[in-house]
Amino acid sequence: MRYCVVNGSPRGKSGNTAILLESLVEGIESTGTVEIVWFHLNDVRDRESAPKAFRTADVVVLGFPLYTDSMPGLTKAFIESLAPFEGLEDNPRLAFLVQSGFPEAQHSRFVERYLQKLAQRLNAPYAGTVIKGGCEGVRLRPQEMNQALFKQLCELGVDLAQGGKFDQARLENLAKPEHYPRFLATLFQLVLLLPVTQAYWINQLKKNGAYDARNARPFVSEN
Amino acid sequence: MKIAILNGNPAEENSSFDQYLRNLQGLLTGRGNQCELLNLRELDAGYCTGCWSCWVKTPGRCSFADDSDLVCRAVINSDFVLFASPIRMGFLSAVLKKFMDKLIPLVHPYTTVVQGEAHHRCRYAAKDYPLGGLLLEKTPGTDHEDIEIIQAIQARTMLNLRTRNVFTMLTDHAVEDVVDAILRC
Repeated sequence: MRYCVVNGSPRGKSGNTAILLESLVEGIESTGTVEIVWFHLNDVRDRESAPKAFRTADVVVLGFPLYTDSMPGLTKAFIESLAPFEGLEDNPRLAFLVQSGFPEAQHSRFVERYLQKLAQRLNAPYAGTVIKGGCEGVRLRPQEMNQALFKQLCELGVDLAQGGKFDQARLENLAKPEHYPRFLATLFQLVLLLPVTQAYWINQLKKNGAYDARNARPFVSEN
Repeated sequence: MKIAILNGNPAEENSSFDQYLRNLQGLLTGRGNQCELLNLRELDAGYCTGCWSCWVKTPGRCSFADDSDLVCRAVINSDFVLFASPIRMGFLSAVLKKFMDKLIPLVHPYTTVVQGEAHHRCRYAAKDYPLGGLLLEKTPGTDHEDIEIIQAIQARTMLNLRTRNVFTMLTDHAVEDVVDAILRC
């Protein structure tokens, strides 16, 4: 089996999407002899070769970070390059991974519906979409804190390789929290007013000497 | 009323889409409005790289200082923004999406809770964020579900900009109908 893994993240190999895709691939590889071909769309050469490789794959895994509620522009350009394959038979099976900085899976459900329709548009079997929120910390925290997440992704990779699709219960479990209960949301609203909850941003601003300019409104005149 | 039209038509050959928007701009201007038409494919900007410099290094603007500045400035200074795009593979064009990704300097990195969900805090005053509308051109194969999916995602994007999508219309509609829909806002 030949797998094309397409990383649609503008951060390429060093981003969270790549890290999550690697765990998924580890699961796929654990099932036997498979061929894995990677494409990082932030690399111009991969951007050109990925559409050409699309029809040579048995399975294409497309992963991306949620950018303003859907796929990044870079990933959308890749999807548009698949237009010549619309309506053809024998397109590869499609699996997706969407990760977001927002903690809840809810934010990614809207693009999930799009991806399902995309598979249909390409006459491609749909293997499902892995959704995980709260991922900005993945590349920053000690790797042992990611072990549970990596293990679940690995298992999803095994599902894909052995059954051709992700296990629904496993997808739902990984996606938690789907959304916050209403009473907690009100509590969070108050908690998020505490500077400590925004510490990551405040520290970054200070490190860059930009803290005093943090509330800048460069595009409107202040009078 | 100040109106910005973001033209997400990627293909110069599709001149009827551009013409539709020029007619729209003409009619809006003729009725005493200020209307700026931005042809995104002619602007010079790279994809958002997710570096977040616009949040933590040069707060409020992209550190690459490309033409996305023009788009951010037009959006935040308008009362109404029309996101216009031919449908490509069931969604907004990549060129429109590229510039929508680059609207994030208009909000803070800090988060808050809106409608029970985590969202970014506003950088500008709430009144500065324009209302939005969506104008789509159907392509062969476009069905009702595609439009529903695009509209649902657009509603989310507008919520993240702490505003709302007031209407979704198709270029099948007469230009005058779009003018009326905008001026009703």
